[in-house]
Amino acid sequence: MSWIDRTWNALFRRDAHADDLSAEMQFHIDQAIEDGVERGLSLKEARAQAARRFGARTRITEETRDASVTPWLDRFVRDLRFAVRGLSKRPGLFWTGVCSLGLGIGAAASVFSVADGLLWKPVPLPESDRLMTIREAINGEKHGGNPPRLTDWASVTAFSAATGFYGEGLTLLGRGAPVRIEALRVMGDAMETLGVQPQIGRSFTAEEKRGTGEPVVLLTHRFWQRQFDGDRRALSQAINVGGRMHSIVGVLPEAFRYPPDLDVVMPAPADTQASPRSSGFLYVVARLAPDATIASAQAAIDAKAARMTQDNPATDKGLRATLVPLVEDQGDEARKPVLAALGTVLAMLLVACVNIASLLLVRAAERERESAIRVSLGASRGSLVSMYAAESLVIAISGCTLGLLLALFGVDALKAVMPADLSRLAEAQVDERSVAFSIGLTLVCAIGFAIAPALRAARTPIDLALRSDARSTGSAAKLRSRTALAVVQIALSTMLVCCAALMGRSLANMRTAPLGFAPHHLLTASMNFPWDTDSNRIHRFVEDALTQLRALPGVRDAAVVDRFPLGGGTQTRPITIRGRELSPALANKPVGVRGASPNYLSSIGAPLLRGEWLRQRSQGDTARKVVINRTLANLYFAGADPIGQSIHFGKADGGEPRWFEIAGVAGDVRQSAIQREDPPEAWVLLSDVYWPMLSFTVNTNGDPLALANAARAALQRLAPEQVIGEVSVMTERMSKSYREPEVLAYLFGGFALAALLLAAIGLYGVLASDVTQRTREIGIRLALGADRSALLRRFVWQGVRVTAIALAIGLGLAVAASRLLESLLYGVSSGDLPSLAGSASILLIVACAASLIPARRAARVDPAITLRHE
Amino acid sequence: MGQTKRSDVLQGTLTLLVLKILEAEPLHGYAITQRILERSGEFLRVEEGSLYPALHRMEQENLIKAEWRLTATNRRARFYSLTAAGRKQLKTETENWLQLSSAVAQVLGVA
Repeated sequence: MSWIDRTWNALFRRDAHADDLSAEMQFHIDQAIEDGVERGLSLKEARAQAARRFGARTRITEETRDASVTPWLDRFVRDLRFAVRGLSKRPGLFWTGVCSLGLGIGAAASVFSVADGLLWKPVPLPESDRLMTIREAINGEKHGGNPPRLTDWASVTAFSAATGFYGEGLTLLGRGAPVRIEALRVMGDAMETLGVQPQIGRSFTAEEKRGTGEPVVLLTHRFWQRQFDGDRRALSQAINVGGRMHSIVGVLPEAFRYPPDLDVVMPAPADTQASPRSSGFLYVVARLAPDATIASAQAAIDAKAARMTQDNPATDKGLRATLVPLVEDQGDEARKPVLAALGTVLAMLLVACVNIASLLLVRAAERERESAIRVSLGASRGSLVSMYAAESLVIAISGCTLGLLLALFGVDALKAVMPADLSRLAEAQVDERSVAFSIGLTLVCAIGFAIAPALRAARTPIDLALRSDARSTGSAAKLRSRTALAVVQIALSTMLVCCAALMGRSLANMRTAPLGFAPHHLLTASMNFPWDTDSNRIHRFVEDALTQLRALPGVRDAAVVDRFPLGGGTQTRPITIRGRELSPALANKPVGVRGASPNYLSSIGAPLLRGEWLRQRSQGDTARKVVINRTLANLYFAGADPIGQSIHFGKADGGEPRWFEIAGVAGDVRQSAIQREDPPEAWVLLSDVYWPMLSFTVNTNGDPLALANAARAALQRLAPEQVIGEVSVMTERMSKSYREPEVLAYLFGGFALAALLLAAIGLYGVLASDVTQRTREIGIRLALGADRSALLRRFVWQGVRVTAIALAIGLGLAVAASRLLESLLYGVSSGDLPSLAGSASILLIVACAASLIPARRAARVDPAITLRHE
Repeated sequence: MGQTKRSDVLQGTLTLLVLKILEAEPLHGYAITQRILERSGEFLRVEEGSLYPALHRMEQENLIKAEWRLTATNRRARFYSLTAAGRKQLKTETENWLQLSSAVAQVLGVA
């Protein structure tokens, strides 16, 4: 019988096992009788002899059973049953324990599921641990990949294949109303690198990969199901994507869900693939060759980068490439906040566990006499520990189950409030990984909160059972350990409340930071043309759209820009100034290049500091103008007058410069919620840059939302083949950019509040049981004339003293923890005094309140009743 | 009481005897007692009260394994057989026993 069989039998087949034994004994007796008869005894004599020989059958059966079932397990099963019965008589204790643990585990499991989905879970691709992103940087500034460098990287033998891709939102036409779909534009050996073969049909040919063949498209499984109901005949069809017919060559397998919201995979167009070495728009991924390691591949690309720098000094000087595992790179932007949230939730869980430990200590105190009696009747210390461990385990199992149920909702709630653009958020779910995490965590917690009572049980003094005085000698020690637990709780809560206060202040700062524009009475609408749309088509559309929008009743002005403020993201280039040598730092510094209609900045209310705004160029006018922001003016023209000077977007040695004359200096417009300082930016006419993704702003007299439908209709009329994106009020669009810090601040706040409540309950519990135990003493004191208010002060003071010690520890923890949060904070430093002081006062107030209730009870003790009671 | 004494002596060596008896073929509990009785010239009578707990303990220790089989007379009985670990144990215990008995014999001066 294997170990597992035995355990199984001991747990669930006890009756069957007993039957087996009984049958074996019966067989033995029968044989003995038969033998006796054979030897010539009468049946009766033989029976009697056999019975005599066999002796007490039940005793043998029992001894045999004890030898065969795993005894400790048997005992533990008994203890578990006993624990369930014992706890069912104490529903208050049981449910407090289960709910604290359940909430803690539920919160932890939810945050872990999201963290795992974002940071650690392997991307659903074959051998995804061999997939590496190649991060390029020039002089330390992050730089996107480009096709010539991709070709260079692909030639490194440490890689079996390499690809570069970028996402593009395209319009699907000819299948009902225009639909926006998400395309992955690839170049290089995309399918070979990702390790994916189409489920049906074929992959791209060499010519198609270069973008020079007939236009082709691979469908994702989900798109195929949605658009073609999974019909194989889709393979012989073509779809109109981005205004061009593309033949469907294959369907990707269902398991290919990376990135998760993808509809189609298409080769990048030939002209995009011909982009120069100076461009930077590709996300480069390579698969390690079978014999390569990350280190060997890193060495190989270091050598390659050195050669590239030599061969292409103009563009590749200062090039440094770093290999980062794909999973890690994907989780990069979410890592810090998610880990911070995970840390917070674990701290809260710890506070909850301490609460349960404290409850179980009370329970142990109640059962002290019972334990003592057991010990004096011969129970081993081990059996006592097992008995207490069983109760902890019952609470742990119930709490963990409740926690996992809560996590099912928790994950969805988190996903609903978190920014949807986190690339792998959709993959977050309560799966076997989060279940394993929760069970492991529960076990750790259970061991943690079971240790104190079990240790106490093991030290139960036997004489206790013999004494009639119910108050044990250990009660002072017990109170001390519970006080220590309360200190831990309050200290941890202090830390959490401080962190929450910092996050709250940071969020408030972020919201009140100057915007540099007036967001009210602005309607916004976005619309994306496909990347290769003819620029004349775009400019004609923009002119018509602006005319039509301005003609709408209630509209004062309409403008267009490449990206909305606070939306984040930007196109950057280093700049060159005509006739000036820039310091190396400035020469390489990325400057935001923004395209807008001439009236954009003035229409959103950005201030003009010097010079004049851009003007619409008339036919034949070739003088290109630019408006720079204040930061750019201060950084590059410190002291000098920038008006009239010329700048070029690109490095000095990057070919024939294209000069823009500076017309004016505008105030800084806030481009991202989390930016700490305003980036240098230059505004040029949208017609001077190629940018097919349009963002319209409409100034209205009244409620901007009232015009939403009219504006959408006007745009749709002008471009019936395009999908008009979100039409919304600017203030609402802005609130979305605060979503991430907001979620984080609320999570921190919620966990801190929960911890604070638990700590208050913990402190209350300690003081309350102290008062109960000392009721007699208090009665005597009062009878002897003690002052009631002095008594009240005494108990409150006891609580405050505990809190003061805990606060000192907690504030220390808070300073340390806030260091870790530093990069998430906005406009508030770690160890910010007002936050710390404010949190400390909150803790003190809560602690006073928690102490006041038991203290008042102590002060109200009626000496007559108490003393008579004894 | 004399009987108890004898079985006490037996207790320490019961494992060894059972292992030895089972080395030849799988047997059920009753047959084991009979076989030990026969082989010891009717001297060693194994107590049922010792045998079954010992058998189940040995099963627990993975020295023997048990299965239900039919006897020659077509009745269901629990047959015990040696495991690999049991065979090893038999070897070491036999050696120990021989050493012990020769040592005891030397002390008694009968060797």
